[in-house]
Amino acid sequence: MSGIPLGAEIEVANLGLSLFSEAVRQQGRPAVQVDWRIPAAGDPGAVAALTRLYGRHSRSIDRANAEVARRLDEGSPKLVAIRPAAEVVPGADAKTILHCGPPIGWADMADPLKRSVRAAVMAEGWAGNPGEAERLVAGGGVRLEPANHHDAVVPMASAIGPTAPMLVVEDEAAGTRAFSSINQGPGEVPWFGRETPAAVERLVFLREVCGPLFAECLRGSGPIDIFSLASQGLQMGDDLHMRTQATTNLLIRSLLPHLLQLESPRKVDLGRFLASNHLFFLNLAMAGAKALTLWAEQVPGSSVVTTMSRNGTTYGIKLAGNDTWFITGSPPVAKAIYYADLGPEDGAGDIGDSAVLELCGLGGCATAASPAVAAFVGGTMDDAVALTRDMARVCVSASTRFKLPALQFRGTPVAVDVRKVVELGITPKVNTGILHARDGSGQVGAGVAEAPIACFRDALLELDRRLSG
Amino acid sequence: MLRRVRVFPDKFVDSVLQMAATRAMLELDEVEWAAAAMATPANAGILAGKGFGEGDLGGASANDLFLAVVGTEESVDKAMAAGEARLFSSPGGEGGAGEAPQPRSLGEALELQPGTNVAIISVPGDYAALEAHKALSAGIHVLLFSDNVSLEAEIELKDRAAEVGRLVMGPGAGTAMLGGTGLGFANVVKPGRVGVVAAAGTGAQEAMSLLDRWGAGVSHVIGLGGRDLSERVNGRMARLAVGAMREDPATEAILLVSKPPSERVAREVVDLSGGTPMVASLVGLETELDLPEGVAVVPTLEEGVVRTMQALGLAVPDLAEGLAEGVAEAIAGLGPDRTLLRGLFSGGTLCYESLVILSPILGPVWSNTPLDGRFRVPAPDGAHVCLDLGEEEYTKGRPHPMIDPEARIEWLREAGEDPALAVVLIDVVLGYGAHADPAGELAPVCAEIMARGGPRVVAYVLGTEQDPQGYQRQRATLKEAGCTLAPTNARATLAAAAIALRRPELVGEKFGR
Repeated sequence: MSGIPLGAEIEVANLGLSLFSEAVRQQGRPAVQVDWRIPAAGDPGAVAALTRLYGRHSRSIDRANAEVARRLDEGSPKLVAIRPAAEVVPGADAKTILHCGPPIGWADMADPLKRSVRAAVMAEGWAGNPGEAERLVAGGGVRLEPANHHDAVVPMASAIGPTAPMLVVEDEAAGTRAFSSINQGPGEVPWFGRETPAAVERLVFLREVCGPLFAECLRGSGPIDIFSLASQGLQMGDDLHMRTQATTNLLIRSLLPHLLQLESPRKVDLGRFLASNHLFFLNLAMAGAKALTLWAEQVPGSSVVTTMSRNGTTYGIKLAGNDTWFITGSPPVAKAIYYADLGPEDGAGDIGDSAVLELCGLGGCATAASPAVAAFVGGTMDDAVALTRDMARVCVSASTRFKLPALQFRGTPVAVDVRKVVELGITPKVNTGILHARDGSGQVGAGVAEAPIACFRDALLELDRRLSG
Repeated sequence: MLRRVRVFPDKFVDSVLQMAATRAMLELDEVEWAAAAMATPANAGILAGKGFGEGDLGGASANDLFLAVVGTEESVDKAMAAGEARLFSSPGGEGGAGEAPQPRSLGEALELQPGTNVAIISVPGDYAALEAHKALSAGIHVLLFSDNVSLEAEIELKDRAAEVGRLVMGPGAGTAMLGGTGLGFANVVKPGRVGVVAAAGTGAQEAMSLLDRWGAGVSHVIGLGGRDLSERVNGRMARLAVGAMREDPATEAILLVSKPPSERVAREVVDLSGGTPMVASLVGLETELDLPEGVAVVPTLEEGVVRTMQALGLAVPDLAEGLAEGVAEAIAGLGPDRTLLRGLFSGGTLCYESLVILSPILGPVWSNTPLDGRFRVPAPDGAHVCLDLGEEEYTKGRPHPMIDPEARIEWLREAGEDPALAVVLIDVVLGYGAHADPAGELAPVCAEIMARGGPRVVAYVLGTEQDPQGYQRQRATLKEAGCTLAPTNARATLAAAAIALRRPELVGEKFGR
């Protein structure tokens, strides 16, 4: 038996000469014309790898990808506690500073990240001024570790010392536990690459006031379902990366009764901090996303990206089921709006672990939900929708919880497939802030960063070698 | 002379549209040179050769389209406008505002049209295997028109096709019909009892058209690609196709069409007929095969259809009827020095069938696709010649003669000037994909040649009454122009030989008895 059915009525997809689809339509049968482009910009090595990965390996990859996408979509992480880093983060000891991005030595760190590390060192009390901090770190007196190696993610140029309070997020069903720092808020803050006394003071405030009081509120409220809040916030105009204002408000609303019950006189300071920090929810969303990717990355043989991270110097990704970093230079933020008198020459390379959000259907994937973010991608909602559509082109599935009103409540795209990225030359778009490249003056603008294609190509070729033998 | 370039970033159009736009620009007065093409390194080199500067393309690359013109100040703007109009006003071009964007990949197309069960792929050969594999992964049949797909890639595709139970028709396959719908270059035929399995594009069209016109009808046409019956490819798709036809309830007889195959492979494939009557037109196969019951092997397309009709108990029309008289008339007006034949074909298999028929009658016939490598063009004076004008060497930078008769008109005019030619033999292929009125374009030139006392023109119209061009309408146009018309390509070939040799009785010749 050949098992090949011949009788079915024909519906055609046509790639190439359009006269063929016209001929089918003239016979009264449907034909869709593909607006075809040369794949992988014609790179023969990538085309050969894609031929195998979409060909004989497609069945196993598609199956693995479906499971990865399911985990990214269905995981349900909750904020359960706030504890000092050295007490809860696996492998982070009393001399460890956790930093954003792929692994990097002190000498190669970007200027904003160096400043942030020195601020953390000062906040720990290990140095009294930036010069002392510099000498301690350059002399190997602290252990610099990528947060990602310790189940943690930190935004922008964050550097986290052992006493810093960490958000502890658990997905009970998945059995994963992930961490992020508490968002440092606006102004003179280390995560924006500042190391002024006020910046150091902010870290102390988080440790002494915000962390313990927030922890107390949380004990009152019980675990907080992160993506339940996020899905509501998305309907209210958040992309959950560049804008988390609505979700932050929802969080404050849930905490409010417990805030009022606090006995500490510093509860007003906490209230003031929460009221002024519209990105407070960002780190919760990131920790939640990391809990999802920790579950998803346990699936072997997938072509889905489960780590995407930058440190201002390098840009790195990992695929599910493979602990290898694929690393390339961190590019400047392509589509950006700068503060007055500042421009691209002032911007540091793309930085932070927050791109984990884009792997889980938020940030760039959710741009169509956010009028506020639209301003950064061209100004109209059409531009925002186009960006989400671009992400959909390189993702495996659509979210069942993050729904886009502007796209007839279609779900945001979830699970970035490295095959599609390389084939179409469309890399993930990450909604992000931009820091000053040199002078430690903090944020200079915001925009949409495009991930560099090189690390995706490397990951694709390695996956092909791994599967094809 | 002014040089002007305009780049359309991230815009890909197919080669037919590129050529149409190039022609639209060249047609204007005072345009010296023009091109609409993708900014590949090769095309950038051509621009440099035409005196354009290095920066004119502004960093454009393979997925960017450009228009380039060399001409007078008045002409370049007009040419740009004409090129743009041709590129962007055609169907299949840019959608209107507010429409959902066109799918950019096969995957997106499948989301848009989930019932898709066939992918027609005609992208450049370097990328064709990738797209075909994606189609197989999605569980849909592939008609792979693209050329320049490696043998290894073809074998891997066909092995996977067997695994997933789908067809990979090609590479280099231009014709198929599944579920009653013609795919690629196909004629509109009545549903019927014969399944055609073809490793030869116009061979498939000749078979399906004759089966339609003679009343048997066609169940399905499965293309294989020209290399399928070779030793290396080992009939991978032919085996699947014959199996599928055998199991298909609508198919009562199978007609296999190929240029000379590996004899071993052909023998193994016909062995799979499993009792279903099967005829193999193995055009040009010289040796006899030891055949199973119910299987016949014949050397021409015409004979293949005749034998299939007979296997089904159907009557075959008299193919020579009136033809000898037509030939006699044509001979009557010829000067004694006109003794040579020239075939100007748009269909490759038709050209090949003619070579097979003519060689025993005329002796050596020179060709770009000769039966014997010694007779490859350029031909010496005094030689018979048959050209397949659809081959690559004649289609570089211009459309296939089936799509646009312009190139063949030039060849016809040249033949008209040759004092030694007795007869020019042409095929006129109808159906989807073919020109809207090929006879209308060719007939005036034929009439002009014959009116001036030049060679006679014998024409064969390949098509059906249901084809968009209309079989009878196309024949009538050529008839009116004074052409001699035949009912099959084989008869047209015999009629042409009969005119060259002044032997009208040749038109009754039989094949493969």
